[in-house]
Amino acid sequence: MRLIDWSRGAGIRIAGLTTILVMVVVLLLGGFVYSLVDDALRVRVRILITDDTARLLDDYDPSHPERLVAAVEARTRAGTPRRYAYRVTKPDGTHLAGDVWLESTPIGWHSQDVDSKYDQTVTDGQITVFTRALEPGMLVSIGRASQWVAQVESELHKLFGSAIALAVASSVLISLLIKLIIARRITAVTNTAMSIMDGKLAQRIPTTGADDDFDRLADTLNQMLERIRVLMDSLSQVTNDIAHDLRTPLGRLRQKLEQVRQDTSLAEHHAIALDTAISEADGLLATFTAMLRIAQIDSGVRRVGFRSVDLSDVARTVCEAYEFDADESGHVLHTAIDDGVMLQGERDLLVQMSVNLVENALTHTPPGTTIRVGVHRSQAGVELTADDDGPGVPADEIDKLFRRFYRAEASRTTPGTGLGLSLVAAVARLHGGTITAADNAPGLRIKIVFSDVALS
Amino acid sequence: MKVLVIEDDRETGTYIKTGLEEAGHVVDLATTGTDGLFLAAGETFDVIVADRRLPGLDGLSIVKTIRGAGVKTPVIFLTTMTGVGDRVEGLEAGADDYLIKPFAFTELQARIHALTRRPPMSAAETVLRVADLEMDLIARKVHRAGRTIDLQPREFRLLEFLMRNAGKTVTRTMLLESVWDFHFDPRTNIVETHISRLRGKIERGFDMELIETVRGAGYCIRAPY
Repeated sequence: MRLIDWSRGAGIRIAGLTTILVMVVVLLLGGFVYSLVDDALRVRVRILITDDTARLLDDYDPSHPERLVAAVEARTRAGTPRRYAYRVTKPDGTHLAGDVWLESTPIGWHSQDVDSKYDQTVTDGQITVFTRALEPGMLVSIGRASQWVAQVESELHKLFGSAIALAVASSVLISLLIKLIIARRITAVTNTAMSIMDGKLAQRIPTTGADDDFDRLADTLNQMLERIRVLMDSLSQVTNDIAHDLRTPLGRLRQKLEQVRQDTSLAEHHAIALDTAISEADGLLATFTAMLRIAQIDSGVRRVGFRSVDLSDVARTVCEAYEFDADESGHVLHTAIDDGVMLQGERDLLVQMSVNLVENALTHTPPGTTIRVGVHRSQAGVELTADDDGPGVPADEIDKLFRRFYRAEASRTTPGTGLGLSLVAAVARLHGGTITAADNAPGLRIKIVFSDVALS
Repeated sequence: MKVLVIEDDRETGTYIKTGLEEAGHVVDLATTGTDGLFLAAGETFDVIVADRRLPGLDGLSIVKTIRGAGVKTPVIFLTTMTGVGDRVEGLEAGADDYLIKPFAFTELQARIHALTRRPPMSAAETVLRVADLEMDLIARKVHRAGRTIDLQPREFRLLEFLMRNAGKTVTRTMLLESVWDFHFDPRTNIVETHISRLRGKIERGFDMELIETVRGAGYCIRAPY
């Protein structure tokens, strides 16, 4: 793989556009400054000439034209270097005094290219000349070198030229650098993705520690990869658990059917054996139903049908339904339920969640245990709790309670799918709730907090 | 009774057909939605059992169509979905009951019975009677042989449901749905405990038992022969 693929990618397009933009800006700005400077310089030259003309003609008297001729002669005779050139002529061009090479026509402003051979005193090159007609029949011309204006102009040209070159060069360089950096960072992501596809699932995108956008992107992608890994792990764990948990009842079912097949005795025996087989199958179906339900709840599709549900009423109905059962199994079922605690959700699911909580407590605690179900409003939102003062769950097992098919060591032999609390957790998650299990000292305390988001 | 079964899975269809025929019903089996709609609209049935998901025309559309055409035949949906939304959708479309596959045959049978032989309860009828057991629906009182029996509200609803279906078998699931509004199968048999309490109240101290346990199916309240 090439490090930089110039043929495509946004980098090079951005670089091109930037360069063009920089050039346009420099040209516009340069042109503006150039014309401003140029105008100012030319105006300055004319002002100087006008001022000098005013000085020369300050005390001009048309009745004594010879005085002006003398003044011009005096000025042109003055030492070098001279800034100004002067000449007086007759209107027909007859030279009277001053610098003979100075062109005295036309009247007004004109430029003249000067050859250094005429006079060393005026800087050679271009001069600006102003000619004025005077009474009686005389033309006076004053010139001043304006070559330096042209020099400044050419300096400006060079300056702008190098500015443009520099701008283009630096924008190309910067674009190249950006392209290089982006390419390097993207290559890191691509390489990671490729090695993950190759099966190195633990591979993560490296970060530079600069905490820039790329690092944040890498962090987000890494978090996503981590979440996917956890999901994949739990998927493979669930697959294993399903295989383990369902093999046993399927084995028993097969055994029963085999017995019926071999049993040649009474039809009554057959009926009993078949009944056992059917209830074995029912148990299997119940497990699958619970699995499908959890999957369906986890997919979150049901959230669309949410409406206001009276959680207090749900908890009361469920506790009331289990009153007799609790009584019969020697448990005490207490409730501490606030009135009218509402929640956005699906009633049937919240009922099933409450049923599972109560059933879990009834199944896994010995007779004489007190079970408390509570519904309260709290700072955090809405709380649903199920506490018992039974033997509790060892600290190292408490976090695993909500895992699918998880059965605590002590309850391996009690009937159940191992999905009851997983379903509780799934329903809680769907309703924006967080579920926690803690030591109730003694016993187990399961608490679900529905944050404000889910409140009606 | 004449039953129309609309079920695309031949195995399930035949299982239902055979079972119902053995129970003495006349059964028509349609294996596509279109056939089902054709039969449902053209002939008179006592009950229709329709799969919720059918290739092409599904159960939901069939029920909507025949209800639109004024056919009032009770419809039971069969669904593989455990979704509550599905159930509500089905009932709103005009179905009368639903059953989640796979189901026990006795469950289907009990529901067919409950739907088809629903007694024409007149609004004026406010007292339910089974033998010497009387339930006053207005006063919310239960008497047996002149003696008042105290029932908790839930026990009252349980007995009311049994008495409204007097002589018919009601299943555990039907009781869970109508008495507790539980649309799933809890592991603990709360129905059994409640029935046994109810029996204690309405049968203990009296000479005859009224609530009968129907093995593998459910319960039935009736006057003993």
